[in-house]
Amino acid sequence: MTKKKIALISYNWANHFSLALGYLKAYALKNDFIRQNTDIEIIDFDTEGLNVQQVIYYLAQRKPDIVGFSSYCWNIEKVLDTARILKTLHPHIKIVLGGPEVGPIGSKYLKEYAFLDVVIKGEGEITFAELVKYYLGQISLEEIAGITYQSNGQVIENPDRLPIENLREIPSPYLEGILIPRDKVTYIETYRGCIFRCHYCFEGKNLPKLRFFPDERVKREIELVMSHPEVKTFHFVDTVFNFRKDRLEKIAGMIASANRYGAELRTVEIIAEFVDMETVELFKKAHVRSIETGPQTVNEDTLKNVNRYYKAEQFRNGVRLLEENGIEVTADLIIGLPGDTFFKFVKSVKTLMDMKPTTLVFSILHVLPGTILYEKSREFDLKFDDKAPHLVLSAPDFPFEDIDKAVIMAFSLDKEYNIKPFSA
Amino acid sequence: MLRYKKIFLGGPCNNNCIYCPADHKDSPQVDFSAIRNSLDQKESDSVVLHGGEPTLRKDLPDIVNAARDKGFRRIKLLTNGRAFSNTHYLGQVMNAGCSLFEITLWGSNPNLHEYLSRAAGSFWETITGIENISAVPHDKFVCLRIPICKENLSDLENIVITALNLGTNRIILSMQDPALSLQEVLPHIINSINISIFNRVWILTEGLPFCLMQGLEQHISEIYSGWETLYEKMYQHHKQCAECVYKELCPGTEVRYVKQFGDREFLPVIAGKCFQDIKVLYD
Repeated sequence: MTKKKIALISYNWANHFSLALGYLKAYALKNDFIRQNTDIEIIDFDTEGLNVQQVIYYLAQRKPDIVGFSSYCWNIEKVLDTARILKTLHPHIKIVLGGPEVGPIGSKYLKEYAFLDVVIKGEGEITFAELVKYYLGQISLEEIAGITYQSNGQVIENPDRLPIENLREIPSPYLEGILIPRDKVTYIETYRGCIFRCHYCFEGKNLPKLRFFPDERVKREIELVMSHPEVKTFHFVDTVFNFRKDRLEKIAGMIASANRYGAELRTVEIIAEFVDMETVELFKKAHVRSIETGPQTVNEDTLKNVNRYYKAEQFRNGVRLLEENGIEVTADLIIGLPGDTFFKFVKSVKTLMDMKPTTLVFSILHVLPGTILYEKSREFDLKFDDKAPHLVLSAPDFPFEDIDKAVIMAFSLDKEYNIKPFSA
Repeated sequence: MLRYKKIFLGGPCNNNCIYCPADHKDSPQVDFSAIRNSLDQKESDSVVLHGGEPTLRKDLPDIVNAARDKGFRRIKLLTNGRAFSNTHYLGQVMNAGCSLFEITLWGSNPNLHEYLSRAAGSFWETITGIENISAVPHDKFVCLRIPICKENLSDLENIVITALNLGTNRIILSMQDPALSLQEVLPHIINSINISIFNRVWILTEGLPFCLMQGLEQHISEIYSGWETLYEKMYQHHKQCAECVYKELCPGTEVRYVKQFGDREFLPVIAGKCFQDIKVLYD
């Protein structure tokens, strides 16, 4: 049998590479039949740097049979452009989409864009491997849980697939040599799921149970990443890096013992309320240089509406401890949450500015498919753009004009607050 | 919204603005050691240096440098911007650590600007200064302050457009002329706000009470930075204020204005849509 050529494509920002596609390939290649009968190539494209024509030209040289795209709200437009042109030029190529932008609304995408063949929903490792088996003639589409697909002009949605119970089943793309660590863009994942259930976030709702990669594997990944002298900074994608102190202690110990070139951890997501002096010491041990945290809003009604955890005094104390100990804090606020108004948003800004975090980040609410807010948007009378990135347009007490003004004000404040003076 | 520690550097100025609000025009340059001492009292991580015209001081880069050494994260300069028509000098000030500038623009053309600044050649120097700052490839923040008076009222929208074309990050429309009716000013303020927002630049007003700014409360700068200004102004409540929901938050109207126009145009706000949210900010 001629080997099937599979191209897994991700459009990324700022020279990043896709950890998700690394997992897909690592898991699929566990299967001997797939390994012997496919060539799977991961291709990371820069969203800004390349236009679709260049990507099409590149793919024309590779002649893939199946093309899979990792789809997010920030790259879906380019994904669809590429898929459409690819299908027009090469109708035999199977187009498969996965990722949080398409998974929860696969039927909608397949109905709207007939050039798409299959959408994978939820965690993709097992589903993708089964799909490859289907394309190799081993199983039928009906047998594959977690897909939505086109079939004779109909869109069929198969039952959901439960998240993978034991993450040990997924080989490490780093340890398998599928992904090569690079400075600034290397991510390690030690667990999946989230202890919180924020209504604007995909993670807590869809992956509610915490599942951990084995400690030994995490340790080997950390050692591998830190054995590269050119990797000066790397990251963890864990939803809350400090959710449990004993676990933080374990990870910090692994990093400290592997850190022969003085690599630093940047922008790990934490909960500031959980930070005490002991946590700060563990962060230092782990060479954490900067962290990112909420609170997204400080207004009680809004916090309640979006089920966001925030304890004002503990948060303030956490930010203070981190800043006093030289760990840069990035604090995030979201514009347009249900329950906020223009001046309630201003109150959040004032509160945060008084805490003096190193950086303040403002973003506008994305009502993402698969989140509670997306599902409850009518209940909150939340209007948003149906087209990705699904920006909020209005809320009952936050009309479009006020959201627009809040965004413009935030842009100006961002310039002023986060200014970095030139030093000769 | 950011709190800046204010440091006065001295009275001398190379403009001679008709509506200059400074009551310290004749005061001498403040001694460098006194400035350094003021920098020691660090109640904020941001500092604004003002005068007179700070760029007239030969030691301005040293003062900026001293502020940076004291750990101030944001160093802002209130200036007419003329000195920055010299890129070498701009480089010195920015290299010393100053990245934020608040620059006054009186008119959209040399005739008007120089009539009000009473300084020949000042318009193009200011414009070139702003252009030079905008062209610097490093992080910087430029706020253009547009004082409003009877002479430039009809030019206000043009001045805002000029500011937008210069790449400003924020615009402040500031009432300077107590002999100008606020009712006359308001349509120009509304136009200016719309022009600026349309062009995605944040714009604030200064010296306009809540009762006149209903529906435009987001643009009242005093909500964010208080009613206290660099140059002292005397405000007074009038009898209608007693019924106004904002009476605790708003100082009223400038005394000089009421003397000239009376208080009939100020109607109390009985139920402000965003009053409760604004009140919380003051609490």
